[in-house]
Amino acid sequence: MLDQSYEGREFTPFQCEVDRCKIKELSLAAGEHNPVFTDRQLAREQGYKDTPAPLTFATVMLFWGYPVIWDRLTEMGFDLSKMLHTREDYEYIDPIYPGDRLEGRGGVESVTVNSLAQIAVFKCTFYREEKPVLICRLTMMVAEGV
Amino acid sequence: MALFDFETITVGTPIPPLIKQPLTMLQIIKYAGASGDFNPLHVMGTKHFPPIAHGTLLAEMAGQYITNWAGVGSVKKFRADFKSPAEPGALLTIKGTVKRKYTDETGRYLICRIIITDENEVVKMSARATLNV
Repeated sequence: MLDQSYEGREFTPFQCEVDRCKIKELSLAAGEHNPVFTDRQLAREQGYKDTPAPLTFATVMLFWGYPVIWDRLTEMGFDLSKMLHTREDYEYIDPIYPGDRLEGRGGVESVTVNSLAQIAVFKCTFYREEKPVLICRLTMMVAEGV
Repeated sequence: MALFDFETITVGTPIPPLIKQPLTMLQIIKYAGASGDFNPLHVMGTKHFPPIAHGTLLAEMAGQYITNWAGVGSVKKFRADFKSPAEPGALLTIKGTVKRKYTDETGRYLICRIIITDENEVVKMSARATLNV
């Protein structure tokens, strides 16, 4: 059973420096080759300062920047072998570029436990020089009946 | 930063579909490395489930799909719901449609719906993207 006392709990902020290679790696791993993610000149021609991060780059920053998230999930009652990722939600405030030094701040936004489901929503806001640039929310659910 | 003329877009405008190469275990492993998500559910399976693709891998595919059409800087919100697991071997098709078009004091907007289905037309992921054009 998920521990509902985790609702509202904030995790330790973490630092993340955006790596050009990780942008390329993520892009290629998804099987696409849009040159905006690897060609600086093309990116500038399209109006960006540099090669911008792809839309789900927050996932890279979260898991590589805060790897103890797995411990937090386990502590709050998730069995990782029966945990389903059901939703990912992003809000983009400003593009993210290689070399950006970001700080991730967040925690457990909500925990819902009832007869139908056990669901936790994690929220993380990424800041660059104290200004928010990206907000992401992950929704995890216990796989029932397994 | 959009790559098209806002005036030519109407509700119902389809986004050109994209058929992905067959999903492979190697791709899932590459994505695990890229994302840092080494949940055994994806890289080796668990006692309850065979290995399945990360939902965020499909989200990234959908993200690139909308990026290729509208430009990454146009996307202001992106919400992906993971509907059913995608396993190695799946042939994924990504389709999208403009669902809403409006202008307000902050700019011009499109809301698009994106769906990823497999070769049996089972929905794997549905997403909603808000674009500021």
